[in-house]
Amino acid sequence: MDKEVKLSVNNLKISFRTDAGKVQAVRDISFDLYKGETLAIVGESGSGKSVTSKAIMGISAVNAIHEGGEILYDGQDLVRIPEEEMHKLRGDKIAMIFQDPMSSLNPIMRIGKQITEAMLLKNKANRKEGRATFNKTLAILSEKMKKAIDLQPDKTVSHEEIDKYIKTFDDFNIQAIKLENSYNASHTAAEEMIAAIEDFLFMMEKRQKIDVVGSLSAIERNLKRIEDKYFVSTSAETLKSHLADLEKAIREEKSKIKFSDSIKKLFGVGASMNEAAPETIEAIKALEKTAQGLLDRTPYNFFRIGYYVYKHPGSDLSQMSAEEANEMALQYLNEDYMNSFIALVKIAVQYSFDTTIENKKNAVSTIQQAIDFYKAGQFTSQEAEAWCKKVNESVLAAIDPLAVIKDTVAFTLGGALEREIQKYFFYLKNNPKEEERFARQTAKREALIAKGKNVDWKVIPKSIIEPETQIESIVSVLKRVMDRFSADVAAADKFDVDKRCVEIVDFLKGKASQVVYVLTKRVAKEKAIKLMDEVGIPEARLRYRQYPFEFSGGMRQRIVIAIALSDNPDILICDEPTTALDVTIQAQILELINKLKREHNLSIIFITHDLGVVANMADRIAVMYAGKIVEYGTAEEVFYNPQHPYTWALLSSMPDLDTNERLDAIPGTPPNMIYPPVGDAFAERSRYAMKIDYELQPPMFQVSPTHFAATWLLHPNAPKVEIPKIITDRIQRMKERGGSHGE
Amino acid sequence: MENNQEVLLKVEHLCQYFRLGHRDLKAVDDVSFEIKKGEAFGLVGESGCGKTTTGRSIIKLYDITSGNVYFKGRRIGAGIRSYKDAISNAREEAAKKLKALGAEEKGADEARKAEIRAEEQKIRQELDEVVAKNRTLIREAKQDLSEVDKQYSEELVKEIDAEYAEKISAAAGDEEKIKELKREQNARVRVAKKSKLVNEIQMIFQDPIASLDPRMTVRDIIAEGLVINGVKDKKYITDRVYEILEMVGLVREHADRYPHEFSGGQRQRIGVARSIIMNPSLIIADEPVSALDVSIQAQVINLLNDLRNQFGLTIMFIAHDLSVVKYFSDRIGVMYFGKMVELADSDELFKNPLHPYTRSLLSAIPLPDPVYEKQRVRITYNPIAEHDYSVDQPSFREIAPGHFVRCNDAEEEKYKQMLK
Repeated sequence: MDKEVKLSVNNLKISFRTDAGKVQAVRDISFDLYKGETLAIVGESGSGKSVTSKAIMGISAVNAIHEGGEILYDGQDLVRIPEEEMHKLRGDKIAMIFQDPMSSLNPIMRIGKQITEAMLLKNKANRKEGRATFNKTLAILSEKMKKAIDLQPDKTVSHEEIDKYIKTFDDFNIQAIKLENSYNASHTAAEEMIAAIEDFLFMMEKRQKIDVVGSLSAIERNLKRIEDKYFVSTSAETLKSHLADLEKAIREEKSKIKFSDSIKKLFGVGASMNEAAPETIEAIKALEKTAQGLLDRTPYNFFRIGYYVYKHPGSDLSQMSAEEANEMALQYLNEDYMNSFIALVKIAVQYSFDTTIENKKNAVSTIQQAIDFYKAGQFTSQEAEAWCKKVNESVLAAIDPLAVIKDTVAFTLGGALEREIQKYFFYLKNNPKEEERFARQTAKREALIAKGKNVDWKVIPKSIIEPETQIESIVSVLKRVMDRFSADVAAADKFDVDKRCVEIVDFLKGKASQVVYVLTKRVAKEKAIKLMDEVGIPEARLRYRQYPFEFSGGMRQRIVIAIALSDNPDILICDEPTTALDVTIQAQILELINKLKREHNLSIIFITHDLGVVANMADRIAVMYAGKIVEYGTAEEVFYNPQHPYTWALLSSMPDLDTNERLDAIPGTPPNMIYPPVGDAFAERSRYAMKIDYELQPPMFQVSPTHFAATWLLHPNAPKVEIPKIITDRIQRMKERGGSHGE
Repeated sequence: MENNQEVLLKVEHLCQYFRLGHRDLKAVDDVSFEIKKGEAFGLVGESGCGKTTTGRSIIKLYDITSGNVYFKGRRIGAGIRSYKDAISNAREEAAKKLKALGAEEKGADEARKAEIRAEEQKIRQELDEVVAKNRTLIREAKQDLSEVDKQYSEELVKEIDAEYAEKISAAAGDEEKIKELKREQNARVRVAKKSKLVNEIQMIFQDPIASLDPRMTVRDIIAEGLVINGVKDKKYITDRVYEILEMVGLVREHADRYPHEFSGGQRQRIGVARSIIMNPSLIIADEPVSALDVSIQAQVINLLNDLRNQFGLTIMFIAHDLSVVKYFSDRIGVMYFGKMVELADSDELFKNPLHPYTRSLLSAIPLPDPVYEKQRVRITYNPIAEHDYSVDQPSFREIAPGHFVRCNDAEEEKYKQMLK
């Protein structure tokens, strides 16, 4: 089956620098995560599963050293991109749920604020960024157009005309933004009004203390703010009558409280509670319905209408229905402006593409030279940095400024390369103290061995990282860009100009409208409440204002999930999300995660040590031990046909409901990762270890196209080994049960 | 387990309330069960249902609100709230009745008045009886509690005296040996005088990191119980600590290390060692494996099982992981919101779960079987929809031999039908 790969981890190696030496937490692991699937990573504590997930999120501990390998998401290497780029992905594209919900929530912030915080901040950042990108892209477009025209022999269009086209584009976009802004303001007002009404009705229903007149006035204020002619267009009269109704209701409510008001105030009781007349509620409900109707209508396309209004100042399309207006404006726009503009864009895009292909060819040769230079070793830091600069310049020149999706690999090359080089020189530096220690310890060890004593410790190496591996890392950074560029050059004749043109215009349109979309607190609140409903929190409207300590463990974990989902991530990393919870709550949370996965088409990395949980969740399973993946396959394969002794041990050490015999506990403890074992890391604790297990690391043997295991037992020369009886028995039972279910 | 019907621990109507503002939080409400000698009794339920509180009440970490706890036939815990409540209820009722009668008396004729007076007399008498009865109960409970340890230590001293009287008479003539024996006897008597019956119940805690003092060596941690009990013989303590360490699968060298130098499984072994050095007859294991990794869990469970077979220990096993409880226990009690809802042999409970909460709990167990897991239907438990207790109050009843369920009459019929 061909599935879209969302995230791929290749040969990742991560270590931690500690006082005792270098702890190799993750040693060369690789896996792919497909779209819409759950990949479970199973292993004991200390096997490196959380380290992997933290590396993906870019939140590794400070003493972590990334020794090699890559994490590819959307063409970018997550371990090498700078923090600013990571900011854009973290939480937005890749979100994480941690084990302990209490420690991932802020205890002195209300739940609602914590959910909406990210939404509001992101909206603000988006708006700022949108306008800047719009201006920049338009400037580049104009420049490229002029250059391209200059190259043409007959020069069909003059520079002044190009300037005019660009200015028109800019101006009518501003017009469109103005129109849309006022439309959106009314739209937001309507949404807020509905929210206020919902709040009011909810409070009435729950018989909470409420200031009726105050609430009604708030609704009225919102209603008055709905005044955009495009938004109300056909329903202006209806709204007016609603307003009249509301005003009347407020008058009545006021008159009701007139007598008792002063007395109540005297005793410190809020004026008029729970006393809204049925007519008032009726009126409000009708108003809500009308407003909802307005929101559900087809919106106007202001990009088109903006141009029409720009050309015909003072004209008003609000009396037309949205569909008609959109159609008419589109025709006018295309005939009057867009067709010729697109033709110009086409020339510019073609020109820009051709020049970048040339530049790419140059860049590839420069990179090749640089690779040779670095591979040779023996360079000073000045030389290395000069090459770094040179490569970076040629690569930046080779990036097509009119490509909508920027090639981030090339974009971030400079920074990545520089950091790798710095790292190289940092590790190269000699530390006299360390040298001394190394010499001393080596001498001691050799003396002991000479005496014929059994020495069970090793000397800690003097440098943390090998210079050779670091050079390899530098080369791999360059190689990726080179491969990318070579592929681009090879595919140059398949370039589709029309598609690129449409893309760039759409991109500009998108950036322009980013500015327009304002998320107010009230609307964010409504969104948060919807989200809380979605993750199964009852009475979300009431609980929105509560603090984390007022929630039970399961509810808190739901809140954390809601926060993680608030930005619609692609990938969700769940790091033991149910370990702190009860069986029943655990089942609920797992069901919830499964449901959300289906609805949002999420890709999930699920980290746990509980195999029972995994069976429910996972499509595929990776079993990790001592920083390596020892078995990798679909859930059915790993559970019904386990191959690695460690998987057997894990399965047999947990009792299920029919287990009566003595449990097969794994003897001993996981190895010390400062001195990782030479051969199979599990050999020391395994009953099936052979001689070779202590000497050589087993490669991944393929069991089926989707099932791999790293154990010498799968080697054709290995003796046949029986799977432990406790597991075969269980598989037998499971098959019987599964069979009866299947019928 | 062999047919051993001797009851080691008996819990009767145990209630443990905590004050929460103006109200009582009923953490444990009217729980009764028995643990027989040599068996493993499992207690399951969601967090906050009172299973840990039950364990702690038994070992007297809390003073129980009402109910009785008997250990080896002696009352070690008693709450007096129920008796006090009975007295005040009786007083209120009597006062109400007397008031009604008093109102009637005013307008009544002579004959009726005499009748009423007689009735009043009767009511007062009844009230006095109730008060006297409950007061006796309270006095008895207090007396039992204050004397239980004294009796126990006196018995121990007597035993020791008898033992040494024999030895001394056997060694008659050898002055040196008699002196030695007498010194030994005095040391043991001193310890015995300090012992309490509750010391025969020991506890293993959930979190092996938090329950060990980081500034004490393993030797100190394990020997602490002995030292508190007045053992002063250093050599005896050291020997005992080594013996216990080897028993739980650690080595002698570990005695001088600190808890942070051990892995989670080893730490939990230290916790086990600390509890068995006092030669307990009952161990209350409060979620001993839920903080551990799967592979380590198996080590600790096997260790507990070995100890149980070796010394005939009785274990009360509190956990929320049902597959572990099922594996470990002979009988299982299911708790829900402070009440015991079902109690049965473990095989019986998993084969015929009767109470809807038990059924929902069983349906939530995750199993390492993907095909089964994907078809699993979870039953949700909604107490309001499931039970109608408006007319007929539920109680804890025996539906089949050894199978108890909390239900009312209608439900009892239903459950009996289901078992057939």
